[in-house]
Amino acid sequence: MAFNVLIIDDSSTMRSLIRKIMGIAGFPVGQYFEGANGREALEILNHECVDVILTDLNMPEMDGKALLQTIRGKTDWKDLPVILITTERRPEILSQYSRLGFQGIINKPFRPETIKQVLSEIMGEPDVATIAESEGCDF
Amino acid sequence: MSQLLQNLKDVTSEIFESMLFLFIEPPQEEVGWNGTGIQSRVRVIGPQTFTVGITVPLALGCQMATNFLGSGDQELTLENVFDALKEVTNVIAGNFVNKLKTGAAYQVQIPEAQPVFLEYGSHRPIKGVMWFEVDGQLIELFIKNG
Repeated sequence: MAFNVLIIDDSSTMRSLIRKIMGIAGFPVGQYFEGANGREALEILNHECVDVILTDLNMPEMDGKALLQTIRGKTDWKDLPVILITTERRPEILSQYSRLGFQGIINKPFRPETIKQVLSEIMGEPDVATIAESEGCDF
Repeated sequence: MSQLLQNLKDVTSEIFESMLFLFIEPPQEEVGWNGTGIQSRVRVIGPQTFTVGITVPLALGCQMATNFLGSGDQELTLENVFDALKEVTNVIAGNFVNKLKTGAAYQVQIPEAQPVFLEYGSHRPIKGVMWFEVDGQLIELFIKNG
């Protein structure tokens, strides 16, 4: 089964990096969608079928917290898996996000294997055949 | 070196190694800079508002972006270079704030980057500024009030 992935980060290079790592890790991705902030994420969610969201927190216009609040408030999206990709490690701050509900966290700077591990927990282990077909994997 | 600067240096060193596969070292006396560079900075608002930033020669900025994207064959644009440097600064500031005792009260703002002209003058001692060498090129790491 292929998953549709939504990557939200105001850094286009970070979005490219995440996409590349997911490809190398061999996750069966159907379509990638990308946005630079929460507002763009909501627009994509309104028009596309998304299976998992990877989002930054610190973004202009609409940050990750506001995005998470909106997603959890909508019946159609409330169970959508959300993975935070952030520098945030402060327990006092992360507890606010825990209350809203997220499925995983990847701290920046991250190593490729961390993305693989967190995604595996949520999406299941990637198919070995898919990894073999990808451009190579060193983790 | 104050504990604050030491923390900033430690965080930067770790991020350069893990994100960019580059190592920061004390500068050699003869290392200087001259020409076009990029300065990226991010404001951190809290009990004591401050700005964290980094200045690098353009060539090093390109190398950082290439390493960050992990792709030599991808056509590198100036936009990629600025974006990568902003992301590195953002990660430095975020991890630096995590180390502050009253970290919860601080908010990291959106990073900005701009081209700068690097005047020859090498690494002068300035309060809140640390100089390092990365692959034979000089970089400036700074923290200042406001």
